[in-house]
Formats: sequence, structure tokens, C-alpha cells
Amino acid sequence: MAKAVEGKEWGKDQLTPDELMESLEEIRTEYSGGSRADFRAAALPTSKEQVAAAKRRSHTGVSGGNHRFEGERYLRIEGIENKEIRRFALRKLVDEEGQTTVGGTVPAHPTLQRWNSLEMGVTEEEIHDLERQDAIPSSIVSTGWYHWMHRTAPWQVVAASALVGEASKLIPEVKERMIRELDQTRELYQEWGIKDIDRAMAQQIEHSPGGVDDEHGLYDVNLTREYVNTPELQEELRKVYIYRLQRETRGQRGTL
Amino acid sequence: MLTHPPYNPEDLGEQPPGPDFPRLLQAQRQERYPDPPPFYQLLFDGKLKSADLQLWAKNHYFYWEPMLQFSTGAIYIKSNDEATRARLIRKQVCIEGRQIVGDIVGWDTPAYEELWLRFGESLGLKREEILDWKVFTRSYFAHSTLAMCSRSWEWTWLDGVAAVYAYDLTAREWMRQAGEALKQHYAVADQHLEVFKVVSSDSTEDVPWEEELLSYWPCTKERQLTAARAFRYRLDIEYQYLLPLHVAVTTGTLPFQVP
Repeated sequence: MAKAVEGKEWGKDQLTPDELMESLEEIRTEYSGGSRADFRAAALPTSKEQVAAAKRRSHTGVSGGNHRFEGERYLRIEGIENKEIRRFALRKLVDEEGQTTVGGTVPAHPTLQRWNSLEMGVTEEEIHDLERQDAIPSSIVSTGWYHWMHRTAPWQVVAASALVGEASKLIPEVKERMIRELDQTRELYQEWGIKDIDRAMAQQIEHSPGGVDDEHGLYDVNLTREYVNTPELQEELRKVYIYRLQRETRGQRGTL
Repeated sequence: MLTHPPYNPEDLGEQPPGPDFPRLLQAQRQERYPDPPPFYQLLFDGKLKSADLQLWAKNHYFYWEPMLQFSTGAIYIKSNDEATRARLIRKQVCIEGRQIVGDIVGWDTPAYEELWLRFGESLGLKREEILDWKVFTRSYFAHSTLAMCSRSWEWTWLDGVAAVYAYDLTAREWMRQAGEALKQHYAVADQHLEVFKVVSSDSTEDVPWEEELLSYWPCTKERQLTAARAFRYRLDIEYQYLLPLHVAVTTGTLPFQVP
């Protein structure tokens, strides 16, 4: 059994909500090279072509994915006693699949992603063809695990697994870095002569502090504190949390 | 696999079937089930007693929660076509309560299951009586079958949409007629009939996009055959869910209930 906090072991002893959150943050720091701000940090791109190439890779064999994880999260929360939690999960899904679906103005995240690609010079036709190609092998297996986990893990763990991405933005160091990156990106896009910078940055803004993930992150934290409340669930979450960190930090690049 | 968009008629070099396909489904419905479920026929004809209505209110809660909620959500998750998902997620919001997105668009309608509970209360039932009711086993089997087909490999996303179409065709008729009958024959006041208005109105709104979708995507023989079967099976499931109620009110004997 791995040690969680002084005198307690994962999977054997029940951690208090504070101990659980603290222990998970320690694991995150470990996967961020010792610095909390470094999670998901990447060097800024050097050219529009470099971004376009990355965007082409991101479209290869993929066409949106929120329904396959946020949707699975929503569906996993069964039981009439959990209907309010389930409905917040549906609301998250609406935010990510597009508030436009119910008459709002914020489009789906895949649409925002496509806007960025188009501004970088990738065409609609290219995206159409890329989405129908085979996915990149490392992406197939890491995405496959991600979807499978959502179908098979206990709902509390499935819901709490969102902590890794969304709740990271509640960390002050991560928040500061992301805000800094917004300014840096805008400057770069101006330098590259991007025609519609707001459209190109819409996805990044949506996922930055002040965007929709703020509220979602708080929900993830509160839910984890309240419902991941047995040694078994906490141990299961620890494993999922580590798998997600491994996937998020290196899995997509195939260097696990 | 994973999240690839489905191949459309242009990708496959096939012709979309056009409006003939949803018309074919409607013809199959007419052939298989020309009449409403027998329990609903009694309801529409004003032949039920107060206790029969209460029995219906108790047994049908499970239909909205979890049967309709889960199956619709499961079909949504299977759909890799973004435009279809946009429609299905809106449908899911209607089922779960439009108030979920009240801050975005100002909607305040609660979930179908909540509206149904309110209707049950108007018949003199307590909420606990409805929530604690042990659903008829045949209704439970109907739910289990729909959940499995919607969630697992039995139905493709397109089969699922055909099944949702079957639900909407029936819900828009039956819920409207039920609301009218309750007012006319059973003196249920207007303010207690919101669930019937909301459900029939939502289904009426959804039928056109489902027909448009079913005029485009089933562009191969196999897609048409499997979608048509899912459509027919969904009708079977709808009728089977209601059958024990008819048995109960016509024989005076309660059919089996879940343990």
C-alpha cells in the first residue's frame, strides 16, 4: 500500500476530505516536475505552420470527444438520490457541447477548436478528411483507456477524475501561467498576421481562468470531497488520477 | 470507433433515402400498432376509475426516471455526428428539466419526472407512494431492454435515433390525448396537466429534425433495415411497458412486480 499522509495508507485507511485533496495535489506536483504550475505547460509555438501541423494531428481520426467522457460521466451517475449531481453533469455537458444547443451563444468546444484551425490555415475540407482517417496509434490506446475508465469505474471516481484537468485551473500558479499565456498567444498571433484573433483564441479563452472550467473545477472538488469517501474509492481514484496525469503529460505524445 | 464522424452518403457514394424512409417507418407503425395501447384507449374513452389513474401515476414514474432519461442519454453518447448530438443533448435537457440551463436562456420548466410527481399528487397520491412503488415486472423488463439496446452494441447511433423517433411519434399523440381526456372525463384541473403539455410539445418539436435526419443518414440497405427494426422494437417496448396496467385494470389482479 502506498503512503498517503502520515500514518495513513491508500486503500486501507479512510482519508479526510482535506487529506485526500492534499494527497492528490502532491501526486500532481510529482508529475509536473516538482512545480505545480508546470502541469500541461508547453513551450510556446514558434510559427503559424507549427500550430497548423499540431492542429492537423489533433483532427486526425477525432471529431469532438466530450460526449464520450463528459457524456459517460453523466450517464454513470445513476439513482434518483443522485439526480442533482447528474443534472449538473448534464449542464457541464451543455457548456462543452455548446450552449448554442439550447439557444445560447457559446458554441461547442470542437467548433472553437475548428475556428483556431481555420485561422491557422487548415481548411474545412482538410478537417473533414482528417477526421475520417485512422487515429494516431498512441491516441487510440490512450483515448480508449479514457473512455473505458468512464464506463467501468465507480461513478464517484469517474466524476472526480475531472479534477486532473478542470480543477488544476484553480491552482494559483496554474492560473497565473494560463493568464500569462493568453497575452503571449495574442502577441504571437498579431505577429503572425492572424486575421481574426478573437476567433482563433476563443477555445483558449474558454479553457482559461474566468472561462467555463472555473465553475466546473469547483464542482469537481466539492464532489470529490463529499463522495469519494471510502478507502476503496479513494484508492481507485488515486490510480485513475495517476493514469490521467501520465496520459495528459506524455500519453498523447506516445512517450509513456 | 472512438469519435470518428460516421460516413455520410457522399463519403459512401450512396443516395440519401429522402422522406420515403420516415414515411416507411410510419407505415410500419400503422401496420403493427394501428391503435393506442389498450390502457390508453380506456383512458381516452373515459373508462378508467380514480384508482386506475393512481396506479398509472405510480407505475409510470419509472418510465420517465430512469427509462427515458437513461436511454436517450445513452443514444446521445453513441452519436459521433455533431449535429445529431446537438439535437439529442437539447432533448436530454428537456427530459432532465429545462431549468438546468435557466441562466443561459431563462427556461424554468422542471424535469419530466418532477412534473409527473406533481400530476400524481393532484390525484391524491403522496410523493413517497409514487417513489416507493414497485414497478410491474414487465415494465421493468421493457426498461432493461431499452437500456441495453440504447447503451450497448445492439443498436447503432442511427438505430437509436430511429428508436427515439418512435418514442416521439407516440408521445406527441398519447400525451396530448391523455391530457385532453384527463380534463374532459376525469375533471383534472388544467394546472395539474403540465406534464402532458410539456412532453407532447417537446415531442412535436423533435419529430421534424428526426425525420430530416432519417431522410439523410440511412443511405444503405443495411442501415435502413437495422434502423427500421430498432423503430419497431421501440414501439414494442412502449406497448409492453403499458400492458400490465391494462391487465391490472381489466382483471382486478395485479401483475408481478419487481422484488
